[in-house]
Amino acid sequence: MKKLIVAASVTTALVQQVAAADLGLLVENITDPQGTLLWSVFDSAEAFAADTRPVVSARSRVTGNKLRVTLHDLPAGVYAIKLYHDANGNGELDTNMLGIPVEGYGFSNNAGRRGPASFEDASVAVDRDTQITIRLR
Amino acid sequence: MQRRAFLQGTAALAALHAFPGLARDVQSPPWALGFQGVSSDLPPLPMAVRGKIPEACTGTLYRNGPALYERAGQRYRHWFDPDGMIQAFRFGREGAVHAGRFVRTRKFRQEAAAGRFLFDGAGTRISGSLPPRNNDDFNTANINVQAFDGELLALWEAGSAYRVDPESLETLGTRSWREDLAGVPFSAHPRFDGRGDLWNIGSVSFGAEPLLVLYHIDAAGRLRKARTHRLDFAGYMHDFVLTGRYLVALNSSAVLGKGETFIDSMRWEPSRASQLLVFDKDSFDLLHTVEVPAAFVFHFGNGWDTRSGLEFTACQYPDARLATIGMARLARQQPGPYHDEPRLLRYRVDLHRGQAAVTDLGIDLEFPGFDRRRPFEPQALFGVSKGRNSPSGPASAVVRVNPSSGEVDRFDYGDGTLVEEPLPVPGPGAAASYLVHSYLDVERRRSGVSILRADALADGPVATAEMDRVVPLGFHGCFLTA
Repeated sequence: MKKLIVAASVTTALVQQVAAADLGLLVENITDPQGTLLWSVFDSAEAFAADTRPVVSARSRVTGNKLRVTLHDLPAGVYAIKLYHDANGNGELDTNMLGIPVEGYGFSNNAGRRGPASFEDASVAVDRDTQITIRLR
Repeated sequence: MQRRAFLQGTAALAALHAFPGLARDVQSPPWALGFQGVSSDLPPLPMAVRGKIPEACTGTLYRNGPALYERAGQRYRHWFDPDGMIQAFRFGREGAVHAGRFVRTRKFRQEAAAGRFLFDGAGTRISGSLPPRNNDDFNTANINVQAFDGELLALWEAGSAYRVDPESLETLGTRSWREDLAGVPFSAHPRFDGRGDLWNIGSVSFGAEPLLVLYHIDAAGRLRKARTHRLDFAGYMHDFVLTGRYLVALNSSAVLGKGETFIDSMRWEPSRASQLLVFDKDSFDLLHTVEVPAAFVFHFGNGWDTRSGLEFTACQYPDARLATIGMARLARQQPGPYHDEPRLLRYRVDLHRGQAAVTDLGIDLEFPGFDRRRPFEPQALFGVSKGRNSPSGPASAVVRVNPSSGEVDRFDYGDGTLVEEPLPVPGPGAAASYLVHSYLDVERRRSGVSILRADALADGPVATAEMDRVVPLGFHGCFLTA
């Protein structure tokens, strides 16, 4: 976990911004406590939809049914977070033949009532230190 | 009306305003008892036996149905919604015993831990509902229970089958036919051929394009093949027909689109022809699409091949109002109408001409059953039927119908007794010897099981087993001989 926080700090520190804040992320409802959690932070709808160019992307080892991550010195802005749980360690979010995930995943604001969330629904304004909770589906 | 009666009536009305809970009771029809639901597992309870349970019926009647109607003050509003409970009625030398146990689905476990409903139902929006991971998050496993490969399968229709231990009724997780089929719709009405192979459909109405998944699983539980077909439109499909050569699905004119709930998204389109989709069993190729007048069917009887094509029976409704309105009124314990009764129809499909001739066999019939030792031959069909002059409500009679002649044998329990799916139990001979079905006596508030001679229904039960316990009215099941 410490490694992850350091990695996140380094990445965000590259972006030179005067205003910066910490984003605390609590992931709940990890029903299969093994493998890794992969999470990505996006700052635009385009990047979020295409799953490319995240502001920060990292993985955390899962050891229990909750996980806490803090992103330090994130430039003030609007972000949306995607995360998925690679429980079997194959590096992918496993889906069935219909393309529906069979491993856990989630979005900031627990957005996306049916299927994937939009950036707009998942977006969180980070203009000061912020705590959010994502319930893994 | 006499003045005194009028005054009493007024007083009663005033009381209803003061006690809205009471108002529901007063307005509820007698059969509302069957839709009350239960909140915990039902521990083993001996049943009082009348008559003699035939040797052939030593075994267990397993049934499944919606049972958990309410959590944290929130109540489901459609009969498809409540979590499934497996009922086991066991008949042995010592007598008869009943027990019921909720299927511990992923949904049930998550909601039990949370102490409230977390996911929307098929016909109910849950306030503060959570987005599901996939269909198995709201899989209630509440429609059918069938014996297969040494276990029971608790079946829903839009997600995985759940494995259940036949003795303890404990849930053993989902049954995975292949890794990439996890959570893919698997109907509650698998059909079995003479070898014991399982055949099924899965209707995918919720994706970008409507799909139908076809399954063939051998008697040892190995997936032989699965194939997906794109559909012309997303008609509701609940059951299908299997013959010696074909698998036939009805793409019905109850079309699924967008809506607040699954049921809310169902639109009856009377001007849209329904489609009989005739697939080759060996290849799962789509061989024929036969248009038929707009149809809504939950259940089919058996089917058989003919020189020019195939024949089958169907319990058909003139529209989808039973699903969209009737089943909601039943779950809400409201008076009817629950809408039209199902007509038993015979379809004669001429595959050379691409036409189907439909005959009304002159009876209302639901929950059809037949002798599964001869699945692909014309044979007697069993089912439940409305009593003569019965108000529109759940059925009170069991019937046997000859699909060729339309000849009917029936036993009617009267309006106070609601009968459930009758299952033929094979005897020593070639014919189905007995018919076994559960019932709810709403006046005496007792659930039970009746056993009748399959060739003499009008004589009434040869044995009943009854108890001082109300089991929620359910859908389907199977009888496993000991």
